[in-house]
Order: sequence, then structure tokens, then C-alpha cells
Amino acid sequence: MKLKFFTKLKLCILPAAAGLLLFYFLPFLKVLYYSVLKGQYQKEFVWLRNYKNVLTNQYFQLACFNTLKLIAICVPLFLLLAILISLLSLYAGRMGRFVRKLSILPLFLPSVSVVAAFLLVFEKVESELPIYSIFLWKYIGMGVVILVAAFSSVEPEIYEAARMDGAGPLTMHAYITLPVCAKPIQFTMILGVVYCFRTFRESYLYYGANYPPDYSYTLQYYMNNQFLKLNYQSMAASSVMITLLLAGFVALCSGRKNGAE
Amino acid sequence: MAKFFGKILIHIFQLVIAVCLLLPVVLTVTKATLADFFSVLVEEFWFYPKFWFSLGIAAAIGIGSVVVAVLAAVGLKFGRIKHVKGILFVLLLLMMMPLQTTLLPNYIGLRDLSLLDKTEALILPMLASPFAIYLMYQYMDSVPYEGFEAARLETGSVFRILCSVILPQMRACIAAVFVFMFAEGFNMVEQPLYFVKKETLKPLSVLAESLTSANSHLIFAVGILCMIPMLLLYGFYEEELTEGLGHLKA
Repeated sequence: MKLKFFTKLKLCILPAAAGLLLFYFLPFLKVLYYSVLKGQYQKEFVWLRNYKNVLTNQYFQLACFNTLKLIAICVPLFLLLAILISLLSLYAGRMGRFVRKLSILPLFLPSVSVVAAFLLVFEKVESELPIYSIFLWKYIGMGVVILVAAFSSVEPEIYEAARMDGAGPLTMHAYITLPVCAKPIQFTMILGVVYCFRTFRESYLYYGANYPPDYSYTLQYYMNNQFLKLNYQSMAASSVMITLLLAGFVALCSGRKNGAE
Repeated sequence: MAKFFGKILIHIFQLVIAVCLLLPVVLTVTKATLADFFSVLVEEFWFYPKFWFSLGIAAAIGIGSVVVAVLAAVGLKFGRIKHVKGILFVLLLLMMMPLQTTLLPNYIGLRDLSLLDKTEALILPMLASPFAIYLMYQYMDSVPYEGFEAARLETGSVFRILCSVILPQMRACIAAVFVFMFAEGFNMVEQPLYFVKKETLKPLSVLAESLTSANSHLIFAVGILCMIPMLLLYGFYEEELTEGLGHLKA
């Protein structure tokens, strides 16, 4: 009876496991296999030639550069803004609660509506500014929600003790809140990097083309165009590279954290 | 005195942020005229079928992914499965992958099941969402279940325990996952571009641009109409959304 019950519980994960296997894990093995073949119909093993082709492709290099630029500029801004908004919102009473709730609204709004509005705001701007703003506007709520949850779970006694010792709010937050919440802050940063790889949809609708201006041509565009050109070999190779890179990044970040515990 | 000014500054900062957050929404609303609404809702024949099709897909994805995620989370939390930490880490990695890298595996999976160019192609790959499963597990892990052991002695039925002990505790997270996945489904652009070729199977999110290209000012009216279901869901579940999403952690 007992064993049967836990078997039933174990079986609960079947739908999820089936979905993940059918649409993620098994096909990914195929992607790996395709990435070392010469062509879709030429089953010739070419070692890493596809990878070399992708890496030396000038559009891929441009895309890499633009994606890195996006990460370098937007992730620090994202983190800083998220920390500022969440920390200050805890001091702003009802107003702060309102801002906290409002901040996640953009996550749920349809891209079509969002892009139409941003096209109005940045009518004549010819730079990557619109895309960067959409990124910050859309995803800031995720950071705020996570950080507010973390900040408000810090024990009030710690602040009480610090106040007794004469610490001001700035010192308290610099020396207590931020170190105590290092884990969620790091997670927010990881999310920021991940979201940089996600801002394709808005950009695609914003420029309405498969080839945006050079400064906005990110890796997502490269992948998208390889797919539309039915260039599965390049797409598979770049897919594998990006997957490994991101997996390594996430593993490194969370691995170090687990080690510190 | 300094404290007072500090408070004022903080409130001004929050106000600026609120205005920035709302600005795009307000701008869209001011740009649409009644005539636009009239032409979209009455004169244009394409709007209703597309709108209901998009909503239907979004609802199917929302409900389906909640069911899959709740079951998976229950199994992982109570099923005494080995290596749960490892599984969670894999889910975390998967959740972090950009759409562009998972689209090719999704596409291959659909192709091998010969589901391309069908409505299922838009729904099925979204059901086993790593994000939904991961968030659901994190939430479940943070709520105490004293009733579980007691209920297990009473009944051997997983379904009854689920309904009486587990689900009532999960309401916030279920609402959050539902709204999030509904939004994902209502909002998808890349999946229909890759997975379906028939125009009839493409949702509003993809076609809005091209359908309004003849008179482009209609896009604002369509944008507002698309916002309405999301604003309603957000309005109903804002508490649950912040509560549910706040449990996301590494």
C-alpha cells in the first residue's frame, strides 16, 4: 500500500517528463548530431567544420558583439534600477506598493501593443536606445519582485541592532541588506543576462524586418535568419554553442554560490 | 528635516518610475480613436476569428501548463524521487535558455511527431514549461504541509490529497503560473512563425502588423484590444502574481 502510494506520486511527473523529453532533450541530441553533419541530406561527418563556419561568419561576429554590448550596458543598469526601485519602494508606503505591483505589468502586455507605443516615443531615434529601453521596461518587474521578496525577508532585528550602534540607512543597506541578499541579487543578475537573449520579439516587431540596422543585429536575429534560410547546420551549431555557453555561465554562477554555503 | 526631504525624494523617484511604466500604455490609448475601434470591431472581418483563436490557444496553454506543472511539482516534492536537486538544476538551465535555442529542438520534436502545421504545434511544446515547473516546485517547497502525513494515513488516493491538502496552499502560485503562461501563449511570435505555415493557424500576435499594414493607425486599436484580456487577468490576480513570482530563486 505504502509503496504503491509513492509510486503513484512518482508517476505524477510523467506528463512533464514526456513533454521535456519529446520537445527538448531528445531533439537536442538530434541538434547535436546535425551540427556535425555536412548538410541536411548529406550525411557526411565533418567534425567541427560547421562550428568553424559559424564562428568565422561576419554576421555571427556582429551578432555576438551586439549581444555582448547589450549585456554589458543593460544588465548593470537592470540590476541597479531593480535594487533602487525595490529598496526605495519599501520606504514609500502605499506609493511603493503601487509601483511594485505596476512594475510587473509590462511582462504580461502583448508585444504588439508595447511596440506600437515605443515606436511613437522613439520615432526619430536611430540607435539601439529603443531596444534597450524596451528591455529595461519589460523585464524590470521580474527583478523588482524577486528583490522585494528578498529585502523584506531580512530580519528586522539586524537593522534594530545596527540602528542602536548609530548606523544610518545608507550604511545599513550597504553593509547589511546587500550582503545578506547576495544570493537573490546574483540570481537577478543571471536573469538579466538571460533576458538579454530574449529581447528578440520586441526588436523583431519594432524593426519589422529580418535584417534590422547593424547595431541591433543580435544573436537572435542570426539564429532566426538561419532558420528561415533552412540552414539547419549553422543553426544547430550556433544553438549548441549558445546552449553550452549559457549553461556554463549559469552553472558557474550558481555553483560558486552553493560552494559558499 | 533631512528625513522629510528624503521621504519626498523617494516618493518623487517612485512617481517617476510609475509614470515611465505607464507611459507606453497611456500613449497607445491616446493614439487610438473611436473610428479606429469602429473599423476594427465592425468593419474588419478578420479581427474576431483571430482574437478568439489567440485567446483559445492562450487559455489552453495556461490551463495545460498549470496542470502539468502542479503534477510535476507534487511528484518531485513528495514522490521520494532521487536526485531532485539535479533535476531542478537541469530545469533551471532549461528555463534560462533563450527561445531561439529551444525553438530548433521544439521544431524537430514536432516534425518527428508530424504535428507541424497543426494547432497542437503551438500548444504542446509550451505545456511542459521548465519555468512553470520550476516556479511551482519552489513555491511548494516553501509552504509547510503538516496535513500531508495525516492525510496519507487516511487515504491512499493521490487525487484526494491533491485536492484537500496541496492545492489549497498553492492558489497564489497556480494563479501566477496561469497568468504568466497565458501571457506567453497570447504573446507568442516566434513559434507560429516557425511551426505553422497556414495563415489561418497564425495568431493575432503575428498577424496584427501585416493585417493593419493597409491603414497602420489601426495597430493602436488592435493593441488596446489585445491588452484588455491581459489587463483583466492582471487586475484580478495582481496579489497572487507578486506573491507567486516572488518565490523564484536559484
